[in-house]
Amino acid sequence: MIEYILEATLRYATPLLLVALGELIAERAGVINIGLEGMMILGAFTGWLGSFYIQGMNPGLAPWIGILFGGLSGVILAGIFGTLVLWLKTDQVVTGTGINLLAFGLVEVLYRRIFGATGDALKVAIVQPLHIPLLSSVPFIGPILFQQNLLVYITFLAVPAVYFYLFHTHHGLAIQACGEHPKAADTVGVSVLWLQAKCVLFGGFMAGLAGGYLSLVDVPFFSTEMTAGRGFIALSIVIFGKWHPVKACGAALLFGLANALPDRLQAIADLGFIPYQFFLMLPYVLTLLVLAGFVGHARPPAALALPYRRE
Amino acid sequence: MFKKNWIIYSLLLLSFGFTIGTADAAKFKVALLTPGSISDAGWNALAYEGLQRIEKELGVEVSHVESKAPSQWEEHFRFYASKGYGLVFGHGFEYQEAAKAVAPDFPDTVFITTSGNTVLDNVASIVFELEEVTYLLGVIAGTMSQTGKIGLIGGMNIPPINSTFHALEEGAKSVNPNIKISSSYVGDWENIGKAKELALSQITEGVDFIFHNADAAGRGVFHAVEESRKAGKNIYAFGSNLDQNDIAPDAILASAAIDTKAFVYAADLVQTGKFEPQVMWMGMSLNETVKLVYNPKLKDRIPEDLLAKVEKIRQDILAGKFKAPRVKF
Repeated sequence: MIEYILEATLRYATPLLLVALGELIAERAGVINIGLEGMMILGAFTGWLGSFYIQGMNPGLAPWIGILFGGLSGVILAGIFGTLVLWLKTDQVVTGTGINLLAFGLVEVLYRRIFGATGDALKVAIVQPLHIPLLSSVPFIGPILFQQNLLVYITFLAVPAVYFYLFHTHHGLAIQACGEHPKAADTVGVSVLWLQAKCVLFGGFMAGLAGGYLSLVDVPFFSTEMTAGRGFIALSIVIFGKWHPVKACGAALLFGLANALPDRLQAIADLGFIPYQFFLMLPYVLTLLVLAGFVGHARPPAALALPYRRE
Repeated sequence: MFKKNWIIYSLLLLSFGFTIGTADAAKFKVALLTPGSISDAGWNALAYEGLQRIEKELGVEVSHVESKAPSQWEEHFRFYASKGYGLVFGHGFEYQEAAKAVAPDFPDTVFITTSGNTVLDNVASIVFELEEVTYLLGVIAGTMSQTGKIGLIGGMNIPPINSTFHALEEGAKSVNPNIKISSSYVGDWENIGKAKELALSQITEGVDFIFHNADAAGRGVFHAVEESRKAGKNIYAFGSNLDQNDIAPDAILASAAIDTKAFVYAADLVQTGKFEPQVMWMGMSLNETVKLVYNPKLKDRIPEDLLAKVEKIRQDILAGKFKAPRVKF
């Protein structure tokens, strides 16, 4: 039972962590992107659509190309967002909300246009689990850690990569400077807007990938609201993780566990007397408790959400 | 400032004009409010397909709007009623209060909610007796289950969903009193990934038959069952509301389906002036408005004598000799 719950925890945590890592970089650079949910749904749709059309040619490769499409569609949407907030200086929160509305509307229209109004519940080729030789046959740990999908491995390997990039490279430090004191960064020759733009695009790419995870790794189906708030949860994971990749990873795992455990408890017939709302509430209660009790004061980058103007 | 607002208002008006068109008020028109996206291949798709059938078979003008937020329900009802629509469907239990509030202001419009029991001069409800079919599914699952555990996965625990679950449970217990029922709820109707996880959890708990009533999210249940079958476990799923057998032909044993003709039937009553405010019960005996649809690919997995037994109960329901249990709501 514990083994199963931990497996499920990883499955829940992966898309959240993917989005959170991208958003973390963007927020470190001083841009808050509320439009992650929209980028995810667009990524889920274009990825699924890509796999749908390519699977006839190469069903093994199709989902991967699809996921890449998903990431690229996230980049395009992030490009629109970035242009608006960085150069046209629109309010970041309002623009992000607009991006969400745009993405959900666009996806609904395209989906109905292509597959008919009531949808066909079509299935596509999806990514198969990758069992890592030797390690996957280790008892207990094997099935949990080494019988997952390639995208799961990539996501968790991205955590140390982002950590190293952000804290131990010249680029990473420049990003942090943009988020804390963009004027100072500018005076030492960092081109603030371009660097912020790159971070926003990266965030869009990760959100698009996470969307692809939902429709091409998790299940072979697409539905126009399948993201179900994950983009917003990722935003809170960034805060929860204090803008630090390793802590964000911990937050994503905790949130995954807080979903996986109640799911498993709901399935026990003898616990049927407990109202299901209690189980559904657990992740949020747990988040609140941890935030209040253990995380302490979280300080966002000083210039977060402030448009940078050169004087 | 004023000028700017004025432009925005006129644009808004214009856009409303486009969506509605310049319709003749005297003609009979039918509108539909759905609580979710109609591309769910389930509950909402059912209503939209019904609406399309009304358009085709009765030759009337139709319109549809997604009406998700409770704050929109009354507004959308009023909107269509004031545009001269003769019949507005609110597709779900949740629309009753809004229909009740709006109806007295528009005596020339009939409001029909699917499920519910609110009846006024111009308010009625259609109740699909899906319980008749889920009872039969319960008999099948209760007999065939090797683990003695059956799983139910719903979107939310609301009376219409609960009632189909209750009937299935009673059906299963009629053949195996010791059967254990696990019921899990997604919390919404869209989260496919969550529904998949719930189904996998039930499967690790030992469940070997799963019935879902979770609209779009239900697809996650089918995927979980398919994957588990690939891994060698002998598990089956049941579809709901529409014939969903095609979605996962290797995993779905049968579906509890509602026929879209129920909507045509109701619209026809209103159009021809035969409408009476009442709860319109639509079950198997009404020309098979609800029915059990076996998946032809897997039907041979069901033992002959079980098929015969199910058919016997079905005949009893049709003849009025047996009434499937349902939760009053």
